Amino acid sequence: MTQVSDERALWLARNALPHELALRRWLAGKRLRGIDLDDIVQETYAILASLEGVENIRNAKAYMFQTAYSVILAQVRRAQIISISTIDDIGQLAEEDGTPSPERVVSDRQELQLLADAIASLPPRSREVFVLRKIHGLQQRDVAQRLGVSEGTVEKQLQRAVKILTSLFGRGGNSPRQASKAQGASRSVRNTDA
Amino acid sequence: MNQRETSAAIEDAAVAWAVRLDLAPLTPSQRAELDAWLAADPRRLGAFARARAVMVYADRARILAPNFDHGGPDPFEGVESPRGMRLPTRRWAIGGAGALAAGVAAAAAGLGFQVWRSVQRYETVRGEVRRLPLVDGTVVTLDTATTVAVKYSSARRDVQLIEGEALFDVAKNAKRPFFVEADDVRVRAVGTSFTVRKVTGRPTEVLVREGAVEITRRDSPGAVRLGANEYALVRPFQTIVPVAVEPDSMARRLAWQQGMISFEATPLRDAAANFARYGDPQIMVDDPSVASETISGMFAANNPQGFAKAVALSLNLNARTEDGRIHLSR
Repeated sequence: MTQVSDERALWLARNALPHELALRRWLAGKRLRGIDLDDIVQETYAILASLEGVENIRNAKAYMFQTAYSVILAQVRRAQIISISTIDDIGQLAEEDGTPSPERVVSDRQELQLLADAIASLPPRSREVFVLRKIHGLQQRDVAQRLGVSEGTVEKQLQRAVKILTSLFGRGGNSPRQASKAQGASRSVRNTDA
Repeated sequence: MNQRETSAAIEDAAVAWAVRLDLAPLTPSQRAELDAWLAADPRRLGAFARARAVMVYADRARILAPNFDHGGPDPFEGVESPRGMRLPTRRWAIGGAGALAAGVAAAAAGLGFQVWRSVQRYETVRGEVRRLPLVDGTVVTLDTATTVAVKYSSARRDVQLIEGEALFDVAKNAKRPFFVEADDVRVRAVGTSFTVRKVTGRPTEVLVREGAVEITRRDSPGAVRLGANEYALVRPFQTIVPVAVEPDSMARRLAWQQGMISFEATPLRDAAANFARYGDPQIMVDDPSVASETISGMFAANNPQGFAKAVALSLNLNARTEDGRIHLSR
């Protein structure tokens, strides 16, 4: 609610998180000296979160990349930490827009399977708390009572779960599923070219 | 030097806030604290939004899981019911991790189901072929320049074929019949594999690979049953006549799935029109006598030049490119 509505958070989950990994790879490939990749990603999310409306964004991936680009430019102008020439090739972004993104051919179903797998791969304690709270919808107090732990522990384990999930979704984590997802996706893209 | 907070520290704090917000409504003072925290650095809002995204996404699974009409085993089999009264006080070690995963997967599938409850449109651009697995296990393969609208409810599954051609590999579920609508033609299927084709200016075509379908038309009562390896053209006010399709002919008719176009004694004008559905350059056949010549064979859908060359060779025609179009003539 505060600052980020449920609606916008869900939009981000469906339209930004799936592209974060690609964005990070793309940014990493640019070798932008003096610029922290995580900073760029966070500021990009901040802009996407504060947009007045998102209904008109048709290609969320391209929009996210463009936003990240504008964040870099702003940093460059602000601090002059890297030369503009370093980011010249960001102009190639336009080419990336037109190509069907691998994420697009990964179906909703696979995406949900990934979510399920990600939850299943959490450390046991975090997973149990997460499932009771988020899947079964138990109150914090009831989760604590049921597991015989303090409410503070419930909160801590939930934090841990969300941190891991965020990292899995956005950075690819170390989950083997992510790797196979990427492979499967590139195969599908080739198919559409054939 | 400025002491910039690290992005990792921001992320930790953002996750903590997102979790706190999830567990209970914020008190006014907490809210003020969060607002102040967010205002101090734009990255904080970004990290917070990202954590909220993950929370809300997972939240959907909870809200929607009970509504999920899965028709299968209990999605929470192996996971104790939260409403169950005899609960162990401590149960960190989970007995069946697999069962839990299955439960979560089913819950996630429930999430998908609800998302799909609203109408979803899918389309392919020219030259694109796309496989679209739906939440119920049905797989829809869209041929070039095809648009479908998918509308699932707990009672039935509806797909509207707005334009183009699609192959439907339908997951069996007698409780949720599967319908494809193309204009005023309706095809009903229960556990089957069939294509429907609707291209402007041509009658709707239905081809059944496995199982059976029932075709109804708005302008006539009664349904016509089409079995495996049967094909029918559906024209307004004309009786639907099932035609048997030989197995190799069936394979040819579905060749578009592999990016191929197949012709069997097909008039050149139809073949050219078919290629145009997949991309440029267009093939022009101006002379009616040439356009009526027929061609057979299998061709790569994305290579009209290669096709034109092959046709010119076999029919002794002249192929020349002009204004980005290929003209076939004597």
